[in-house]
Amino acid sequence: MKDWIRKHEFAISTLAFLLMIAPPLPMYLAIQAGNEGLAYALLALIILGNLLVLGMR
Amino acid sequence: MNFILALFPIGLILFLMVGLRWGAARAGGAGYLTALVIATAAFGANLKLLAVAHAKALLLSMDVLLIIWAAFLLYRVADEAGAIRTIGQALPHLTNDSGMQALVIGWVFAAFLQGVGGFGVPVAVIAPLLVGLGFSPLTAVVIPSIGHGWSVTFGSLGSSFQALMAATNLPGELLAPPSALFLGIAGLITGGFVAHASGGWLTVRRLLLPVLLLGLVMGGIQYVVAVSGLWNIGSFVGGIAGLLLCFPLARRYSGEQRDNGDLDGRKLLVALSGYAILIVIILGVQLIPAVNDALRRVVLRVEFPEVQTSLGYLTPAGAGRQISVFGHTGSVLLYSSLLAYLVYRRAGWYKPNAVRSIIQGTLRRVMSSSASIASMVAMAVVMEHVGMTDTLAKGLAENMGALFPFVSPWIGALGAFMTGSNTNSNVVFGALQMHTASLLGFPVAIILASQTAGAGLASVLAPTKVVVGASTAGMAGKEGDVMRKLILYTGLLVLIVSILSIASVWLKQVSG
Repeated sequence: MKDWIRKHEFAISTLAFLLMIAPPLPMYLAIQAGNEGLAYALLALIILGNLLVLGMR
Repeated sequence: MNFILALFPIGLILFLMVGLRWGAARAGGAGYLTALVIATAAFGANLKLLAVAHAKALLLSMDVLLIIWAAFLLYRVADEAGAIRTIGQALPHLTNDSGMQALVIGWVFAAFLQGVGGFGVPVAVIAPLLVGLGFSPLTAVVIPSIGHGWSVTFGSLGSSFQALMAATNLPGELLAPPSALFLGIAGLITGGFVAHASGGWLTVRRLLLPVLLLGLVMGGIQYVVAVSGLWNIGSFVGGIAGLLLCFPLARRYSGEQRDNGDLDGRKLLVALSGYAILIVIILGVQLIPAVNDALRRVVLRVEFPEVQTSLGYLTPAGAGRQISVFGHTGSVLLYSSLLAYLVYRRAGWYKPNAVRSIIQGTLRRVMSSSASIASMVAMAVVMEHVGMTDTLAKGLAENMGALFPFVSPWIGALGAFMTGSNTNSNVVFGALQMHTASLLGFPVAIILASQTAGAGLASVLAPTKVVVGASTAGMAGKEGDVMRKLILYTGLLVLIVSILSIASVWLKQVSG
C-alpha cells in the first residue's frame, strides 16, 4: 500500500488539491441560492480532499 | 476550556510536523479536519459560515499560490537553462568563504528580495542557489528563512505595515519608529544567526565585523527611510545599501584561495538576466504610478455577507482578499518568467522539449505544497470566523496583565504562524492588541511595534512558507526537519522583541 501511494503521490496530491479548491465557490453560491443539500455535498468533497492527504508521506 | 480547544489544531500541526516529522500536506489536512470538528462542535459553526469561510479561504489561497506557482516557474525557467548552476559557479569568485556567502546571499540578498518581492520569494529563489554552492539542502532552506524575517514588515513594498495602519487606524508616523527600531535590532542579530547556521559559533566570531557593519547599515537605513514616511521601501533601500557594502566586505573575507577557473562575465550576465528582469519589472510596476494603475485595473473582488455562529460570534460583511489579475506579484513573476525564457532561448541555452520539462517540473514540485497551503489557509480562516483565533489572543492577553508587553510579540507570531503572513496577523490581531494595550495602560505604538515585529519574524516559521523553501531545495516531505531547525532561531528573535518591548515600556513609564 505504501509503495502504491508513493508511486501515485503526484496523482493523489493533484486530486486532493482539486477537491480542496474546486468546491468552495460553488458551495458559497449554493448557500446563497438556499440549496443546503448541495452545500453539504460540496463540503464533504473538501473533507475528502483533506482525508486523502493524510495518506501521503 | 475554549482556549485549549482553540489551541488544539495549531498545537497538533506543530506536534505532527516537529515531533513526528510529518510533511506539511499531511499535517495541514489533520489540522484542518480537527479545526472543522472543534469549530462545529464547540464554537457553533454553521453551514452558511463555513461556506463563506471556505470561499474567503479560496481567495486567500489563490493569492498565495499564484506567487508560489509563478516563483517555481521562474526558477524552473532559469534552472532548465543552466542559469542557476552558472550563478552558483560564479559566486565563489566573489568570496570562497562559505560563511560570507551565507551572509551575502542568505541575509542581505534575501532582505533585498523581500523588499521588492513578497511571500516566500526570497527562500524560493535563494535555497536552490545555496544548494548549488554546496550547502546541505536543510541549511540552504534555513539560512534564507531566518535571513529575511526582519525585513518582512517594511518589505513587499510595505503591505504588512499598511495593514497595521489600516487595522488600527493609527498614522504611520506613530507606528514606524518603534517598529523599525525593533526590526533593525532583530536584523542585526539575524546576521549572527545566519553566520551560526552556516558554520557554528566559530563562524559567528570570525564574521562578527561584517555582521555588525551590514546589520547596522541595513537596519539603520531601513529605520531612517521608514521614519521619513517612506515605509513602503524601507527594506528595499536597506537591502540595496547592504548589497553595495557586500562588495568590499566580500573582497576582504574572500576565504581560501582556490582555483575557481575563469569567470565568463558574459555567461554570468545572461544567467543573471532572469532575476534582473524580475527586479526591473517589479520596480517598474511598483514605482511607476501609470504602470501600476494600468495593471491594477482588473481586480477580482467578492463581497461577502455578515455571518454569525450559533454562540453569537459575528464576522461583519466585507470584501474578501482582492486579487489584482494583472498586477498581482504572481502575474509579475509570470511576466518575468516569460521574458527570461525568451532571453535564455535566444542565447541558445535550452535543449529540445525544454518547455515541456519546465512545465512538468513545476507541476511536480508545487502540487504537494499547494494542497498543504489550501488546507492550512482554510483551517486558519475557519478558526478566525468562529472566534477560535480571538479566543486564543484574548486568553493570552487577559492572563498576562502586567506581562502583556512581553506576550504581545508572541500573539503577532501566533497569527503569522497560522496564516503564513505578517499582513494577515496584523489584520487579525492589530485592533485587539491596540484595545488591550489601551485597557491595560501600555503605550499603544510600542505594543503594535511588538505585534508586527513578532509577526514578521515568525512568519518565516509558518508551515506555508516552510513548504515553499523545502520544495525548492528538494526537501519536500521533510518540512518537519526545517521547522525543528528554525524554531530555535525564530523563538530567540521573538524573545528579543519581547525584551525590547518590556524595556521600551519601562523607559516610557520612567521618562513620564
